[in-house]
Amino acid sequence: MKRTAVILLAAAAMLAGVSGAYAHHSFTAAYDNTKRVEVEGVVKEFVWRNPHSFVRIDVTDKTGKVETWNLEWGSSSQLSAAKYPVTRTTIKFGDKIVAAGEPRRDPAVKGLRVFSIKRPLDGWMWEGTVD
Amino acid sequence: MLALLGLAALVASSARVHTQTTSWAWKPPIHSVTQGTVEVLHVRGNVHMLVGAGGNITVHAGSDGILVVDSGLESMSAKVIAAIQSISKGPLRYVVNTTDRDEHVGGNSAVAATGKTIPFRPPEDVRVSDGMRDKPKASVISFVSTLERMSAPTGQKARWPEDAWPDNTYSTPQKKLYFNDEPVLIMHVPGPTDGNSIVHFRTADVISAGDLLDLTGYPIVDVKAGGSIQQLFDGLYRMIDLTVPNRKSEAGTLVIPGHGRLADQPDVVYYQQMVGIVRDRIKDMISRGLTLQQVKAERPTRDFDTRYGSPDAFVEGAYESLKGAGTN
Repeated sequence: MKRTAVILLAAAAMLAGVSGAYAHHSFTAAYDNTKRVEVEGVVKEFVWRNPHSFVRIDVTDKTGKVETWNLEWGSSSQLSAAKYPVTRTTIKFGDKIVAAGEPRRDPAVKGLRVFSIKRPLDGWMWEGTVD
Repeated sequence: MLALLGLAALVASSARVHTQTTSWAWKPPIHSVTQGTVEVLHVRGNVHMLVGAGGNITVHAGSDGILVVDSGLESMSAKVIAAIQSISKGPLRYVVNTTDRDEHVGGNSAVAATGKTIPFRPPEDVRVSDGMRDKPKASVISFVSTLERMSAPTGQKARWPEDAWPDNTYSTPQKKLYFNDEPVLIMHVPGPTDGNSIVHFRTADVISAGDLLDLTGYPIVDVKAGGSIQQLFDGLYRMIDLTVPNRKSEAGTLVIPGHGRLADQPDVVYYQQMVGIVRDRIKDMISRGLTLQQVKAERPTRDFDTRYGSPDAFVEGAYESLKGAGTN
């Protein structure tokens, strides 16, 4: 009985370790995976880092109001190893980009879990799923 | 050390009494570096100061590697790298830019290329990548608007090549590192521009002030880069808050200025008072309807010119920022 419990605990610890390696926090808690949103904006900051990178963009709506959106992207390790590698200077301050992904569950918080980013000026594009 | 410097200044000034009786020996003669050379001064603990490469450079070296604050002029890079390596052979991990001015960021490409970021994963872990990102180089940290001024959007020409750009920006009030067993606080303290940072090495109790403090001349208030004299005054206040003097107002927290000799709190206080006095005078002149030319003619800095030199750029920046702020 005691031995079974130890094995179960060890298995649970191993599983926890595996899930920790591939998704260090739950996206579904923060982002609504039943919706897709596309936003166009101007890059204000590209935070290129592990475990997740972020792109901060200013989005102007039809009335001229500007809101800042935070786009949550992959880790710099994942992005640099991706099929279409992203480097620390791929996204530049002032670039106009179009991003699509899952919106935040709280509509007051402007943010996306990114599935694609396009830069119309030169046709650069990235698509994928990051964890 | 500061006491010794003061003593040296006293000795020098008393020696001058016999030959120079008409001017007040305010500007103390201090050791200056031979042009084209970089000198190393151990400040305290893990912290060293490099002088002679344009702006002063701070080197923080220990078991985790090296962090430098600013990288000097581009033309001085080889000498800066040699000076860093004379302090430690460890890997350069971080370059922190306190501002975007050439004498502070010119060496970014060459200096950062000698280092590498701390690996995300140990070398034996083969998942995805080693986390070293796209190119082995030290991580260059700055406030986000410093990157904004050094870079350009896709398709446009940037002031600096991509290799020189900061790649680790922050847009929060501060960014914290724990490096070489020491808390290192990188704080956004706008002043001459809207993107200035200062770095506090908390165990050594040394602050690297960048261009918030320039002991070689008046500050340059760059209004186009978001700077203002009021912001500079407030930033210096912040530094006074962070510094603690020792007995007789000597030493205690040490301050490495952007330019000039090693300083302590009273140096910051004196500089801040100068900025405040000049600000108030120019404010008053603007309220009396004086133009910039008239303000210059009134010489609002006259009692500080012996110490800080030509005031033109400072007065212009101060006037522009106060006028823009609606002083009347």
